[in-house]
Amino acid sequence: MSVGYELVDHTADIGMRLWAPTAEEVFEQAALALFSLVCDPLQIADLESVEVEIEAEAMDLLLAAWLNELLYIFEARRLVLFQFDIRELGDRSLRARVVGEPLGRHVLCGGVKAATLHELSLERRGDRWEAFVLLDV
Amino acid sequence: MNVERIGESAYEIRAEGAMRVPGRVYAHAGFFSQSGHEEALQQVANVATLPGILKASIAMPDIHWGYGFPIGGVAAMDESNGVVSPGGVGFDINCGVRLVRTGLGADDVRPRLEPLMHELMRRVPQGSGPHGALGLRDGELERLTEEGVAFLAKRGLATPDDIAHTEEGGVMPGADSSAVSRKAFDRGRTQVGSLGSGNHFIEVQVVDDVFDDRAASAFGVAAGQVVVMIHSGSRGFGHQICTDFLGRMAGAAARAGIELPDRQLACAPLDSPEAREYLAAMACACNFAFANRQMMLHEVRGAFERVFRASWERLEVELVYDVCHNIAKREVHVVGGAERAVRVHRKGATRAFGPGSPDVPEGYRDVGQPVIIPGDMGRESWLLAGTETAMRETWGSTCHGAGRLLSRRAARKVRSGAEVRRELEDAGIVVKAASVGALAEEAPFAYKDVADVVGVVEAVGLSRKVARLRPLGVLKG
Repeated sequence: MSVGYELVDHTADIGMRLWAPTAEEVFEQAALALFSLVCDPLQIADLESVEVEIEAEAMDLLLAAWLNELLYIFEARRLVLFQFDIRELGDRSLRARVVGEPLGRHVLCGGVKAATLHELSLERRGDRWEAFVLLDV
Repeated sequence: MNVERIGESAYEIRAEGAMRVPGRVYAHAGFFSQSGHEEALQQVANVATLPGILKASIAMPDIHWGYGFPIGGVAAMDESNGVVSPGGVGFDINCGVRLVRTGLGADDVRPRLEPLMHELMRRVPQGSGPHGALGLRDGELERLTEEGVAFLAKRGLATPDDIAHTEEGGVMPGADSSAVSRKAFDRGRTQVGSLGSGNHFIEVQVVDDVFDDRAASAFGVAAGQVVVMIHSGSRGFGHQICTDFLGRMAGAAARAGIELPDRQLACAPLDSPEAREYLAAMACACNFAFANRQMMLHEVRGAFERVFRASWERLEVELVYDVCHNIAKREVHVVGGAERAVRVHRKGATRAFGPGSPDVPEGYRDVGQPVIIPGDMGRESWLLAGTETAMRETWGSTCHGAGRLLSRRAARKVRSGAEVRRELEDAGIVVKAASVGALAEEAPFAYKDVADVVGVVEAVGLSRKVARLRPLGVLKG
């Protein structure tokens, strides 16, 4: 598959390996992988969308910051996110629109504390982008 | 890397290259054949390169590799020229544990165990979602994070004894809510009094065996007595603070001219604005966690009252002690014959002050500080006491728990959560869990044996065994 993610064992934590033709899609795959560990959507309630704008000192740090921002939205806004659309992605900033439903009778899969910088990588390899992020769970 | 055995269960990593001090690892011989041990040792060596580090980069027998600092790592920095590193504390600031005694015996509790566990499950929100037991208005959470358990005492949710039997008296000095981001408050607002997920739990246990009668008597525990253990941290509030400051400190180390062998060792000199703000925010997270565990004690008392139809005072549901596992504390220790102020990072390590320490509550001072070591949910947990040797060798520190053996995903492949629950129930343990699937990740086979870890700290003299505790009922986040 040209676009995807894979969850990887890491003793106390979980790593995610990501790949896609574009960097934007890598960021979207990362968000999908993250929420596969947090909560499955029920897709029966009203949807809410949130505009996300963040900055970081480098693109790989931006990837970790993006995931941490999504965790913040989940906990603070009580939204189970399941659609991620990167509108603009630069080396140090991104704009996105994410969609989710209010947390209600969802079954929570388990917690993710944060995306860490451990072995964080994001790079272009040939005709695709690849990334690795380790999550503290 | 040169690793040399220097004593019974003690090894030294020779100080070479950028290391300012040697590494010292307390471990049993089996550690060196565990997978991941080389990464853990490398991290111990990396920590030894940090400015201001004194004596040694120390690792406890439950060590495994983490972010920057290994889990089970202890490092003390000189207050005048050292650094503080959020990675040396961890995402779950003041993840910790408290032990609660009761006046009930196993024979009193076993017939009512199922309703008791059900009552606990009803009262304490579990899992990772934004649910808490305590409603707070604007400004109240900010005050709670500055006042710690004292905030709850004003609402009748904590007693003076609860405060006296909590590390730091339930409030870390220097907490300043203005150093904490709005995001952290947004996350924390609905989470006070919630269990969290992963390896967090509330367990009803029985004191299985007593090893030190004098200490057990001072701590108020006896064989056959039912106790409760609460293991939880600062939830999303603490995680956000760590994330916020790891981001801010990324540049701080470079600006201070500090070369880091690992990005995750991001740190700042203790007298820098970033460090001061981190410590003020970290103290808020620490207080949040103390208050969180206190709220859960309040719920535990309510559950016992409901099931045993007597006041918690009559049932003697009293706090033995509450300890932090992830923290960076300013302490005064003897270095080279003189007293010195140091900042002790304990990441997956517990303070274990010895007899006579003024920071140990008066009733315990003769025997040493209670040290609470949670094991996995099928086997055992431990109550230990701090020692003089720990004060001399490890800045008054010891291990914190068992450490994982299998990754979460590998554990799920071995057994399903339902099978794990069945096996525990066959062993007579009542299990309540927010996520049955996640039970497999927390199963006994996924963890190292805590008895090995406790065995090492006792053999090396860092802690004394006081009592072994066995689970009767488990509530998992």
